Amino acid sequence: MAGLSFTTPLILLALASLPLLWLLLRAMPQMPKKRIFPGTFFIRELKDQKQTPSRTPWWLLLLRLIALGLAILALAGPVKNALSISGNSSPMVVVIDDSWPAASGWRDRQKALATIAAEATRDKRNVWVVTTTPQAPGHEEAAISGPLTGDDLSRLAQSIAPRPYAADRAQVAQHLSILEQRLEKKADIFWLSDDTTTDNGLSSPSFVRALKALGEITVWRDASNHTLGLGPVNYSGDQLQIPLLAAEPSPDDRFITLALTASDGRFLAEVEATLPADALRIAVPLDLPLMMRNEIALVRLSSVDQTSQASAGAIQLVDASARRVRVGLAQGEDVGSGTLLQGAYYIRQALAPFALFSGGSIDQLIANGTDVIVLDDVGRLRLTDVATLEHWVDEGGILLRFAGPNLADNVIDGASQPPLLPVPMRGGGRAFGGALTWETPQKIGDFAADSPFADLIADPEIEIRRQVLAKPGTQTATRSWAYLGDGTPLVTAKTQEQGLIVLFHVPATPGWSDLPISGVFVDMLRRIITLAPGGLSRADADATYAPLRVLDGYGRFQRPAGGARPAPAKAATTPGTPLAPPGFYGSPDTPLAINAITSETNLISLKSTGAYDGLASRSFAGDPPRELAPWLFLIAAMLVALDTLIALFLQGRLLPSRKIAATIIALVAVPLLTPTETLAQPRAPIDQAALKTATNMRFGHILTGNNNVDRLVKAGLDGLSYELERRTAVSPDEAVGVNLETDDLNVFPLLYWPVSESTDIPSELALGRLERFMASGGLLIIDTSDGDRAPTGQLSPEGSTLRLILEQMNIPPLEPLPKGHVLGKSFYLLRDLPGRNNGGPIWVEARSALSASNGNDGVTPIIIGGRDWAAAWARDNNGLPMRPMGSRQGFTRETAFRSGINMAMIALTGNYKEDQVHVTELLKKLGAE
Amino acid sequence: MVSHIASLRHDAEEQSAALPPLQVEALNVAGTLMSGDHGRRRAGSGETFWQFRPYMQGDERSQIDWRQSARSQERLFIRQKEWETAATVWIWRDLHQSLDYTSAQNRRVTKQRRIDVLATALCAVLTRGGERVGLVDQLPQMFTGRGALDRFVMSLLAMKHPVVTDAERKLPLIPGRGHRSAVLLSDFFTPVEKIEASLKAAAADQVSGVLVQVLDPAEEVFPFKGRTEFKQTSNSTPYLFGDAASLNDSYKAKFTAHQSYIRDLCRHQGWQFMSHSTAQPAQAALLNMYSALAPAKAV
Repeated sequence: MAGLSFTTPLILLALASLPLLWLLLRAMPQMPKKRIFPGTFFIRELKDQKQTPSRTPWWLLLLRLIALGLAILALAGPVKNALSISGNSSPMVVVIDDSWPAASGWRDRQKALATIAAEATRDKRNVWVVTTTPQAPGHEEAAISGPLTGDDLSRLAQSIAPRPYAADRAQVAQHLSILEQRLEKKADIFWLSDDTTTDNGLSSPSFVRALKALGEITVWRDASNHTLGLGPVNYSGDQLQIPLLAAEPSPDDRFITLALTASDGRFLAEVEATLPADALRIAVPLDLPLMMRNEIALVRLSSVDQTSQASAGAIQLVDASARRVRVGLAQGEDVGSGTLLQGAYYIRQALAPFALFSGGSIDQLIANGTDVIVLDDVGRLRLTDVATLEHWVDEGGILLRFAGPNLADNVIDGASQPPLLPVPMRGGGRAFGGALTWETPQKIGDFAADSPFADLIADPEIEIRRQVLAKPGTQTATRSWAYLGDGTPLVTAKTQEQGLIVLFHVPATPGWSDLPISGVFVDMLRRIITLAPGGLSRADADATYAPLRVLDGYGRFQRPAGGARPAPAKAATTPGTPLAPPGFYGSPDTPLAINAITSETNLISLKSTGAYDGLASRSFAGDPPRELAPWLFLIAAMLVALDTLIALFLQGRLLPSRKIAATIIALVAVPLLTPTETLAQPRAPIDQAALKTATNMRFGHILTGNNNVDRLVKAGLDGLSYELERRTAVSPDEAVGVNLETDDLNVFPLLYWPVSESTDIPSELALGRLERFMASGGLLIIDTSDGDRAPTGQLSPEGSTLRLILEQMNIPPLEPLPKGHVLGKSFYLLRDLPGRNNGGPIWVEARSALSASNGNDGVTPIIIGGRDWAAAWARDNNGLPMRPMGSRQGFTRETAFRSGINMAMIALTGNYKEDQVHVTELLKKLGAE
Repeated sequence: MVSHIASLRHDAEEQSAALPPLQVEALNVAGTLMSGDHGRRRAGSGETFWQFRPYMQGDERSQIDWRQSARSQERLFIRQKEWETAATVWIWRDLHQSLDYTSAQNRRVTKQRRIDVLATALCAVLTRGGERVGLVDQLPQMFTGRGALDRFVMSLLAMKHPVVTDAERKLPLIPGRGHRSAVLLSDFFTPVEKIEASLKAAAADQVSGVLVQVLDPAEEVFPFKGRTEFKQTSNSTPYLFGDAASLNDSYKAKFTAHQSYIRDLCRHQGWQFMSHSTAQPAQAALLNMYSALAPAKAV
């Protein structure tokens, strides 16, 4: 399809007539040369003896036939990379995969739409647009719009945006029949494909079939499918990981970076990974501290091979379902006696998929932000631990205790109750053969209706052989969550402030009961930990959540649309739909996340499914259609002109005119000769102003447009020049004002730039010239003259203007003038660089940056200060200072000149002076050798 | 009427513009020849002694040469001088359109121009020699003496090109009576029968003289090739030939035959024939014409 096609190919039939024309033209003699010749008198009776050689030469015939052939070709309307297959009158159908995989190449699609729109406008064709992302139920027809004009389409191309769903081609295929009825004839179909399917390519054959019923299909697609997606965050064992899906294996390794952010937008971490060549799916481990894992709210594919890939699929929203409750298993000698690890084993087994475990002392556990602390048959607690735990429970912690021999031993009837128990306990356990012996082991009875266990059903085979008894009472009655068959509490719980204390009246080991090895145990524990503050409280599949923030196709958060409906919790298990678009739902603290990609999603390249087989295809990157007819006409016209020339030549009419031949030769030869002439032009003329300034060393100041300022600064620089000449070997010429936009900066060693509040930000070009000036060894002194007014470090108006300027400039990293900087040593020994004031910091290039960059020989290219140096240096024609200097005029002015001289020395000598500073050191080293 | 005068004047100016160069060119050509009154080889009014003759009844007594008569006895002699008189030479220049041709690209020497130059030069030579020159088909017909050249040139340029078909083309009748000389300047691309008839008639009318055939070099060598349509003049019948080069031999044969026929014809009728190519200098032709006229003068 990328080749040549014709808008009216029938005209090409005319090419068949060319051989006939050949014969005709051969038979027709060329025009005779006409001569007036008196000698005709003698030959008029002569017969024409030789008539045949008057035929047109074959090459001239060929020339004419080529010209004619080209004209025929041009009339047939040849178009390179033509869009249309079935002529220029049929309607067009544009099928757009406006899905999230298309988001990263959306610009290409808009361009393609514009190209199609241009063609539609030109040929006045109707366009139908079909989008393939799912529509809300009942509005499936919204996917098909039309008929549009080319102008409509180009407007649509501007407004249409990718949506955060994958293409649902099966749904569209069902509704294409509508379109089939409305199209009068076969259409040109342009399928701007995203090349990605999430339904294993099952729907594409029917889709392509339905499209083929409408007309000829041209598939527009990228050369290769780079679509990447992020699956839901999950745990593999203790390992938090996120699946990375690729639609098509890449021939090279791809380096990806994931950005992890918290729900409040805080950046948590950046994770780098490599997607190996030919891999379609990898799990990227997210190595994060436990505390941070539960904070992840969003994982974004921030870059792939240094390029960004923004789409709704390249972002994974994380909600509480991916969170893990941190369960602390208290242990250690200081907690109490007893073998804790045995019980811990069962607890781990029961909670492993939902919780992260840590061990350690109670202090450590609380410090680590544990949600649930398990005390398995701990008898006596230290008083400090009790206080800590009490406080922690008040704050919202869940204390999960298991009874056992130790606890039983600690409960003595009559004595005070041990702390941190939901209900008062009786001393001693209840067991077979004891005082309160059961006849048979008890079964689990009921679960309290108002408890988290309400809908659990106990396995009747579970036997409880022994337990610690609660003292009967109203407290015990209200706080019981589970009972034994005889009505004694098995699990009791007490809310305490924000927190909760839960007690299993049996140990977590199967010695006293079968409970720890039953499924009910697992359910019970899970119900308990969902009460932990971080977790989403019981995921009620039918509860609905209002949309909070939804994603668009590019993976950007948007405010939900006005008519957005709440989504049921179960929607979180399926990819987003128009009813429940991807995004966050519910409360901002514990939102529900709906994603474009779920764990069931597969990304598959359509190419690999063979959906494109037999379809014309076209690359988004390909050339736009180009009409060749004008060029062919031009060539044909030139050939005709050439033919005329040759014919004239053959008739001898051109023979005498050497002038024409000379003209032609000149026309041909002159362009050949011209380049040498241009080479002979050596270079652009030197700017006279620059020449003048370059012949003598002089300082420059950047013109501000404010005459007073410019005059003052010029006087200042001239004053400095005068002092330099008087005191040093430097004798600068008169200072010159420089227009940043036009003048050549490179002729100045030093540029003085007074920046005031009203200074306009120079153009980018001018800033670029300043950057080059600094990079090539110039010294730029920026004076904001605000040192006396900004002693508190607040930003002065001048300072904020300067900040605006510097934000657009590539300036080296700066630091305040450090002690012992060469600026303080280059001529005079100075501690500071005072000007008319000595307030505010002076910024120079940071030393770290200086050593790193070799470009400028370690010399700062920029000095920024608010010292109003120029005003201090400025003198009028009589040598009198133009600006007062406050008290101790002579001294302060002198120091201002000294700092100016030091700066000029830096500008002129570079690091020479800095080396001089080290001369003693160097001599020492030489001496040592 | 006014326009008629204006056009006359226009023509006159146009002609006087062409006059000086033509005259100068002709004088240049003619300057190479000396001329003057010629002895007529018979007694007549002249300066040169011719013979002594015995006095006869009726002779003027003043004519008696007494010195000669004294040497002999009883006889009187009359000194007779040679009869010196100016000859009349008629010049005819052809004005047919076929003469308006030149094959040379860079020179403007058409056959007509050369003919005019030759005619003028001849006139210059002859009038300087005291001869009378007549221009056929033109009034005043006779030019002689000082200023004759100017008037001759004026007349020459005033002549209209007659539009005649090839078939109507013919040689002129020489006016006057008695024995007279004529110079006919043309390319003589006319049927030989007509030339023969004209010459015979002229010879019978006591006219003798020279036929000067002025030719363009191209007419002698026929340098044409390729498919060509030939016309004798711009408004005569075209003749198309597929390959002009193949005509070369036939053309030359015809041309030579025509020329030699005219040459023979002239010899038989007592005329001189000479051929002149515009590629040659005009002086040669003028000399030939002059010397060809000399025997005729000596009649």
